[in-house]
Amino acid sequence: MDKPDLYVVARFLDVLYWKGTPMKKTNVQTLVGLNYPRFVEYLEWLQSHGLIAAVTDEQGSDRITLSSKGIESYHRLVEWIRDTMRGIRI
Amino acid sequence: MSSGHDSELRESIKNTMSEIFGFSQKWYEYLETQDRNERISYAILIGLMILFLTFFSRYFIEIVGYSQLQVFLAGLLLGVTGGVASYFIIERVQKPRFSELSDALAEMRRAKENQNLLEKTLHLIDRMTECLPEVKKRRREDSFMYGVAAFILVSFLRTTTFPGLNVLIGVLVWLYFRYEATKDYEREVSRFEEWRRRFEQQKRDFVEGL
Repeated sequence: MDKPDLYVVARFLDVLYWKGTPMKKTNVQTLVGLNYPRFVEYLEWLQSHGLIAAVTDEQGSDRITLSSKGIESYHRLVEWIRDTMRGIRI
Repeated sequence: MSSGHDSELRESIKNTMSEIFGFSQKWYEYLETQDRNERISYAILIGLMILFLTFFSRYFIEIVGYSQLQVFLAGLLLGVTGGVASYFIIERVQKPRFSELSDALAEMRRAKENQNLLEKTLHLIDRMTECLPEVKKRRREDSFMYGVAAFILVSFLRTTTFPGLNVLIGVLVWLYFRYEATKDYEREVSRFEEWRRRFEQQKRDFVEGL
């Protein structure tokens, strides 16, 4: 994927940030509301940029979680949105 | 993410999100006030026009047995009734102009944590920047009302020495405010366009910086 949509990336970061614990891919897909091929594309992009990490739980199933870079990016995004809102003058 | 530091960070994020929501709420309230003020202005204008037409109709229609004061009071009563009625009619007839913005805000209000709040906020910013030129455009349209108000005001001063003076002053006032508002509108619209370009660029930069 060349240029991911910031809004979709924000959706992933939001879901994973507030969940706090590693999530099953199926649950993430439901919450971000993407079809499977698109979901996989974004997942690969997020992984290749180090924003999410794949982990295996005690039952041996794959889960995904935000990496420290992902958490830091989420904070940056929130700060940027706040600054943008402050900059809108009528 | 269960340490004290993490919970502090989460708390700070929540505060920032509330701040963002507060901004949007204030913004929407401002637009609603603008809408209400516009309706009030139109209602006052319609009321004044009714009063004006009633009062000056005595020059053309012979109203027998009524004093000038009685005609004025009747005009006042009709004007107030017409003004109030037109306020409610405009409110009912007028399409909600910022429905997309109010929908985006309502979405945000309904959204809780982990419900794509950031994406909803980004959409809200989009809607806000889309309706900014519209807000300014409406200020430009107000100039016509100033012209009509000036016309009515001068008409009441009964300047019979210069017939047509009320029309002339009304047109001059309208043109002056229109000129000023157009200048302001063009300046503001180019500022919004510039801001919008910067916003789009920042979005691209943000993704590239990830």
